[in-house]
Amino acid sequence: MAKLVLKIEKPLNGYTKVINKIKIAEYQFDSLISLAIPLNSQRKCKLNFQKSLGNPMPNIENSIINKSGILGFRIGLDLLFICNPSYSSFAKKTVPVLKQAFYITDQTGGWCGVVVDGDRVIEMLERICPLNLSLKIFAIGNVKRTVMDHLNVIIFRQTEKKFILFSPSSSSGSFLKSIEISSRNI
Amino acid sequence: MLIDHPLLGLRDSSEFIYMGDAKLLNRPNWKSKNSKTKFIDYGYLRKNPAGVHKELWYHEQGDRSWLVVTRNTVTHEILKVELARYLKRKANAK
Repeated sequence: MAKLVLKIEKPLNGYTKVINKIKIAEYQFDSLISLAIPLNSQRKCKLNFQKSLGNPMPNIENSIINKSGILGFRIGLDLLFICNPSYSSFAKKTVPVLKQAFYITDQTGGWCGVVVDGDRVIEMLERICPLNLSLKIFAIGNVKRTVMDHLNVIIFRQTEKKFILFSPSSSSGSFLKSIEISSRNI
Repeated sequence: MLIDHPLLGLRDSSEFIYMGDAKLLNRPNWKSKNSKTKFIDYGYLRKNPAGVHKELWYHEQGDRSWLVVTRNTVTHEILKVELARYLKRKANAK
């Protein structure tokens, strides 16, 4: 019997391109999970988050990056996401601890990530994103869920001119096209 | 149109879905007297005013919260935005 090996395929196949000096690249991650805070469990979840990831639970629309490089962000009163960019013991060690307080859903296959980086990135995003992206309003480390064209997007500001965008993997092709076209049209 | 979300600040109305009159928060008790009449009123009858109106908006492309937006339907001026969950809890606590 032939030996089968499962191979991970990313939604955008590791896409990388530079358009108008904006670097557009697929953000590859090992896992992405959502954490929902059960009713009346804020305190328990705060303690659990600190214990599992080593950082305090972020406030709404803020994020943390822990010492292992795991990105955690909160997009609502009772909803957080955790994105683990590298292969590690996250699933075996951290997730079981988080499960003691949060409701957890594995959404790894449901999302694709795109990094946009460059001097003119704000000009490109302004064409498709309804948010105010000025640094005063949307600071480094902030995260928001919004729409770009008609697509649902979570936007995370990593530096002044570098953003990570998460969008559903089922429409990743359309999302990438929208970013490419906006980059060409600035 | 911009909606001043109580937790997230000013957000474009394209992130929201209009879900109707905020009277939908006050579901009648099915055990009460005349519950059939009350449910017909709850399900079908709306005042639809030309002026100040309390509306339910769902922040679908955001934090998935339900808001009660007090809006003037003639001028589109938004007078007040509140989290529906807090209003409902406050009403239930009374």
